[in-house]
Parts: sequence; C-alpha cells; structure tokens
Amino acid sequence: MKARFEKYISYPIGLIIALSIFSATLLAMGFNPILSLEALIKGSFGTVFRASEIFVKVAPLLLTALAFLIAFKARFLNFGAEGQLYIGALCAYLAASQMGGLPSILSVPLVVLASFAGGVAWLAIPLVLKVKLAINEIFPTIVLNFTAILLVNWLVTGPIMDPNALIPQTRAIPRETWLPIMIPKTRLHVGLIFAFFLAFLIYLILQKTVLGYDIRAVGLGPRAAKHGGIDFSRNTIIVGILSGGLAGLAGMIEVLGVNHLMIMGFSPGFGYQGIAIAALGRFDPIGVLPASIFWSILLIGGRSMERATPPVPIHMIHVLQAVLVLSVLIVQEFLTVRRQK
Amino acid sequence: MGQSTGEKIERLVEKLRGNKGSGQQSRLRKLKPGESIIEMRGITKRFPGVLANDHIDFDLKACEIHALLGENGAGKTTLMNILYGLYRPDEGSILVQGEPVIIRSPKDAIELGLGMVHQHFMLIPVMSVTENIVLGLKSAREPLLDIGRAEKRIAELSEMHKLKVDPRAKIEQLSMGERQRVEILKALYRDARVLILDEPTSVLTPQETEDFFKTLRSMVNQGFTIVFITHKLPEVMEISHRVTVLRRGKVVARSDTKLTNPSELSKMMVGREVAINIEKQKPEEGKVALEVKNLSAMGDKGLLALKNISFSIHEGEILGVAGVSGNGQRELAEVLTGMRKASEGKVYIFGRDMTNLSPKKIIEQGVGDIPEDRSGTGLILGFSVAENLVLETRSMSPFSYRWFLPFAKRYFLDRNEIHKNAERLIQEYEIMTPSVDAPARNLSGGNLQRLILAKVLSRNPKLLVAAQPTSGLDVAATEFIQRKLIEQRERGVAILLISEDLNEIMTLSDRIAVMYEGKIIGIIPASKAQIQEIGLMMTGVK
Repeated sequence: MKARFEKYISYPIGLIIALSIFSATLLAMGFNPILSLEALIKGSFGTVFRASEIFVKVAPLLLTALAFLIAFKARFLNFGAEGQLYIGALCAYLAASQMGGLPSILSVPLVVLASFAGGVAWLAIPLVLKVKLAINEIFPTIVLNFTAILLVNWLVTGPIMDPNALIPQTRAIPRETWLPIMIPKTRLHVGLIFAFFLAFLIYLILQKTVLGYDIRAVGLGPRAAKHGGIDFSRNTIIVGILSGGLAGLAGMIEVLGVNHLMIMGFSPGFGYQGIAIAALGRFDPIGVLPASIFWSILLIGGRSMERATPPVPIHMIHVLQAVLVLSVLIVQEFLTVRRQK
Repeated sequence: MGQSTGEKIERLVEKLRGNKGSGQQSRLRKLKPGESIIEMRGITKRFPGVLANDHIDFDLKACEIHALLGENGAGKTTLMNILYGLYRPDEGSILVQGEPVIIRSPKDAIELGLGMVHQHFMLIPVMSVTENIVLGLKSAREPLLDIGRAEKRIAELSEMHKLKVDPRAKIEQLSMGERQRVEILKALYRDARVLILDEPTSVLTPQETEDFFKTLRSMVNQGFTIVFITHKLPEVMEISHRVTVLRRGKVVARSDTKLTNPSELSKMMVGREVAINIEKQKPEEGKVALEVKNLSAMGDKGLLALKNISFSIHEGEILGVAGVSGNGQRELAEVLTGMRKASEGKVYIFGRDMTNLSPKKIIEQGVGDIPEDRSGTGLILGFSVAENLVLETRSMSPFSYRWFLPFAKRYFLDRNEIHKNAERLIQEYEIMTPSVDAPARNLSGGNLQRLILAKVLSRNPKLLVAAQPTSGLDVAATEFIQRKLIEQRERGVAILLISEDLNEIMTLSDRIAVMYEGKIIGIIPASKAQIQEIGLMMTGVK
C-alpha cells in the first residue's frame, strides 16, 4: 500500500520543483509567472475548442510514446519514431489520394495499413542490422529521422506538391478518407479513440499474453530469457514491427484526422516528445495516458502564453516540459534509492 | 545536528588515525589488542516483508578475527552493510571507540578506517589493478593521474601483506583469488584498519584458502582487525578468535571460538541438528540419456575451452564432473543447454542429435539446467517469483490458453494458474519470499537457488545439468538441494553434476569425471574413487 502511494508521489513533487524552476526563470526574464501560468491554464481549458485541441494533440503523442515504450520493454531503443511518423504519414497520404471513390469503411483501413507498413519499413534497416549483425540501433534510428524528413520535404516541394498552393503542401486527400469529427466545430477526430484503444491493446499484450511475457523477459534478463527458450531475434523483430508501425500510425492520424494533406514540417517533433512522455509515464502503457494528456496541456497552454501580453516565448514551455521530466525522474530515482537503504 | 555529527566523525577519524599527517604507521599504536573498537547496539533493519536484523548487538575488539556465522539470509551481510554505510539501520546505534557515530555512506566508513570486500567483487574488468585501486581517490597530481606512484605503493602493500598481484594486470586476466587480493589491497590502500570480508573463501581453491588464511593471520599480528562473514564451520574453527552466530536476523550465540565446537555452532546456526548423510540406492542401468562425442568448443576469449570431450550418462545415474573451476566445466554445461555453440563433435540426447540446437529445442527434449550464474542466467531478477517459476513452461498448459483464436499456439497467460503454481512450489521447495508477486531480486542467495530448482524440476526434466548447485549456500539449503538431486536420480533422471566441492561430488555421484584444461582426464566409478587421487587428477596428474 505504502509502495503504491510512493510510486505516484514523485509526480506532485516533480511538478512543484519544475514549476518553481520555471517561475524563477520567468521572473529572471522579467515576466510575471502568475500571469503566465494563468494564461497557460486559461489557454488550455478556457473554451471547449481549446480543451478539444489538447486531445487533438494527445492522439499522435500517445502513439509515439507507445512506439518507444513497446520497443523499450525488449531493450530495443527506437529513437526513430519521428522519421517513421513522417514516412507513415507519407504512405497514408499516397494511399488515401488513390481512394477517391471508395467508401470510408474500405479506404480508411487500407490507409491505416499503408501507414503502419510505412513506419515498419523505415525501421526495417536498423532492425535487420540489430538482429543479424548485432549493430546497436540507436545511431541508425536517429539518422533515419533526418533522411525521412528531408525525403518528405523534397516530395512536398516538388513531385507531389499542389501546383496551386503557395506553400509546400500537397492537394487534400478525398473527403471519404477523413477521420470523422467527434465534437462539432472542433478538430477532435476519432483517431483519439483509436489511440486509446491501442494503448489498451499494448497493455493487454504486455500483461496478459505469452508474447508480452517474452518481450519483458528479453528486456529484463536477456541471458535468462535465452536460457529459458525465448528467442531474442523473434521478439526484437516483433517489438520492432509494433514500434515502427505505431509511429507510422501517428503520422496517419495527423494526415487523416487533422491536416488532410501533407505539409512540410507538419510534426513539431511528436516522435521525440513520445520518448519523454514514455519516460514520464514510467514506460507503462496505461501510465502514458495521463502523461500524454498533461504534456499536451502544456503545449496548448504554451501557445496562449505566447499570445498573452507580454508574450512569453513558446520555447519556455519546452523548458518547463524538459525540467518536469527531469525532476519527476530524479525524484523517482531518489525515492527508490532511499527505500532500498 | 548534521554538523556536530560531522565534527564527531572528524574527531574520531583523527583518533583512529593517530597524529594527523605523521605517516601511515602512526595509527597502529592507538589500537591495543583487545580494546573494543566497534560496537553495534540494537541494530534493527526491515526490508519489505523481511526483518533482516532484529536488535542485533555486535562488538569488535582490536586485532581479532571475528567470525560472523549464519545461514544464507540470516542477516550477516545486511549487518555489515549497515556498518559499512550501505544501509541505514531503522533502529540502533553504532559506537566507534566508545563514541557514537552515524555512518551515512561507505565514504564515512572508509574515513573511519573500515574496508569491506563484498562477496561479488566491485572491480572493472577492463581496467588494470592499479586503476581499479585508485578509482575515486584524489591523485597527488590532480587533475592528472599518478599511476606510477600508486603502482609503487600497491607493490609495497602487496609485498608487506603477501598479497601477490601484478599492479599492471587487467582485472579480466586475473583469477578469482587474485581479484580478491585486489579488493583487499583496495581497502588497504585507503588505510583501512578494520576489514570486513564477506564469504571470502567462496571463490578460492583449497590451496588458495590456506595461503589466504596465512595472510589474514599475519595482518592481525600487524594490528588489523577482521570481520569474517561465513557459513563454513571448519573455517570458523580454524581462523577466528571469536564468533557471533546469527539466525533469522537475531544473535543466537556469541563466544570465544576456543570455548565452542563445530556441532554446537552448527546446531545454533541451523536451529536443529543436521547431519548430511545421504543414502542412495544402487543405480539401475537405464537407457543412455546423454551421449557426447568428441566435443570441442571455444571459450569467451576465443580460445579452445573444450577439447575433444566424450562421455555418456544413463538414466538414473549421476555423473559428477570434478575440477578446479575455469577448466571448461562452464562451457560444457553451456554447450549442452544450447547457450554456446560447439565447434566440433556431437551431442546426442536420448539418441537424437541435439548439437547446436536452440535452448528452446533442448528444453523441449526434456533437458533441465541449473546454471552456475543464478541471477543472470537462471532467473530474471526483475520478474516476480511467480513469473520466474513459469519461465520455461509459460506457453504450456495450464499456464496459457488459446481463448477463441483459431491457432495452434497458446497466446494468453493464465494468471490464476501461474499464481497457484507459485503458491504450491513455494511450499514444496520452502522458498522464503514475502509473496509470490515479490520480485526475485528481493530473495537471498539460497532462496534464489531453491527458486531455480523449483522452476526446473517442476517440469519433470529427464536429463538434468547442475553446475555448482550448492556453491555459496548454507547447510540447510545445501542439504535440501542435494536431497532433491538424489530424489531426481531415483526417479530415473540422468544428472550431470558439475561441482568444485569434492565432498559433494564424492557423496552424490555414481561415476566421476575429472576435467583439466578443457579435457576429461579420466572417468572413474565413485565407489573406487579416492579423494586424493581425484585431487591429483584435478591438477592435471593422471
């Protein structure tokens, strides 16, 4: 019971520490921290639209967090979710743009599959290198992020650019492939439900299936897992497919649910933020739900801080997010060490 | 409060060190033999679900070897970890030369003149002896290292205490005995006056142990004080001046070693009389369970570790493999269980060629393994007790089920069955754990081994490989495990028993194979084996 309580106490403590550092920094920069925080809260919850925007962002963040987490469980560090997200989005766009006449019930699942496959394809090289040649996955996954972004940039500024557009973007995808909106006059689409469902699915896989047992075994004790008859390569490939696929789906959600086209630089680093959210959520598929919602609140609130008078630069929110993750993790570590003493 | 304690520690450090800055030897005069230097009063330490230390009183007099005797999990290591600042006691106080101190960290302990050699060495394999010893210390030429001077001083210390070791050797090149000397030198280099040695002989050969005891005696004569944690009675009798016996976190006896005797100590340590007296039935000649033909394999360093080995084991037979560790026994077990590839030769299990198949296939063939490396290979420390127990049977009935998916494989875990299984095995194998959901990490050494045994034997293997199954375990656990092995043999299981403990080999085996430098020097029936003869063969004499 006590351990259970201690497990979560790091969050309020971490938040208080992070907010103090954040406020001190704002003060030092000549802002009024109380007014800024007020703008942050009002900005995120002030209206239905703003509150809905939080959840619009939660969908891709949750998916990239799950992508990092599932691979992390088997000790595979996929730092390439950003690239996989871009390629997933690209595949979703390319598939969707071919499906003009098809009913949604057919076209959307096909597009989902295409984006999943795209994400997996982008992780395939690091995955094969890891399994066949035991090459560490960190560097290949990171480098492929830049490759993916540059590839998409080139495509949307040339080959697939909408000739009538003034900025580098493509034509819109057919209406039938758009994800339905859940609350009228907002951008909140059903992709959010889909993301929640996937979080629950990952939770089920990890906790209730033999596969999940094997994945966790490979992560926690690779040698003992091998000794117990658990195949390292097989499980690494499976988490790789799930991880790359989930990141690809995050890209699909942005194309089908929000932008309805490809546009240069459409991801504000969802792939990277997923890593921080996974850590904040203790690498737990249920824990990343509140973590991604909270993260998103800060993102949306941060935008209104930027519009407040005097405007607080949006970068300050990134500072707050970073300090928050660090303080929660440090407090957690501190409590664990103290408990063991 | 913090400051005053700090000052106190400072004062005591000075006291322990004698006149500040007047050379190394000056501290010796301060400690008269027999003078009490450390007193631990009413030390209590609770871990989740376990009372590790229950109001323990412990005192240490200058220039003595004080044995701390007890079974695995009796609380010996916890008590010394408290003294060394690794844990904080929940209750109780520590006095150094009559003055209360608070030891917050090993750093404080080192400043007080304490040094601890852990059972698992804290050395970095790729670094040299000198680099390991000076690790974390200020160099005389900050920010540059002063390896030359350090080397000289280490050579001096090693000469003075007869702790022979090459300061330039890399740790990974050293034997366990040498590594232990490095750990002791590390403490001496930090001017330790009191050495805490946790199960120091568990990594030593009998010959090394003898030399090691000589070193300890000469150190005591030079004014050092030694705490000797052990569960081996003969060692207590041979080396210690006084002995404190712990059982289940409590002190059950404290005595001058001269005034006691092994059977009395053993009774106090275990709480009942034990006599390891294992009876075996005559083996029935069964089918050939394992046949190894001309097997060779590489070791970790890329050198040939197994050289052209051939032998066979029948059902209901125990083949003991004797030998000083590091002569290919580990590699042999690994090849048999699929953890290492054979470079040449064949392994037949019940007549089927199983050479270089995956551990999974070999498990399916009915092979069970109790590996030497318990916490890394035998178990997953981050997994719960219940989860560990189904490591090899997780995808079988009743631990997993198909649900309605129309595939041949079992996909879903049955938590209830896994729990029931764990509850049953905990009873049967007398595993002490706070609960079946507690991580294996929380279990003591003996209980980890019981857990492995339960995991392996519960799936009824037909061929069992057991490597050092009782090393480092206390009397009760050793007896339990040896009885289980005999029980398996009577069930008709073929057993390959690899052990450094000659008595164990002699008691349990039907035939004994002796390994030396990757070869089998000879195989003799246990009934005809003489311990001296085997001892000679272990050193390569045929």
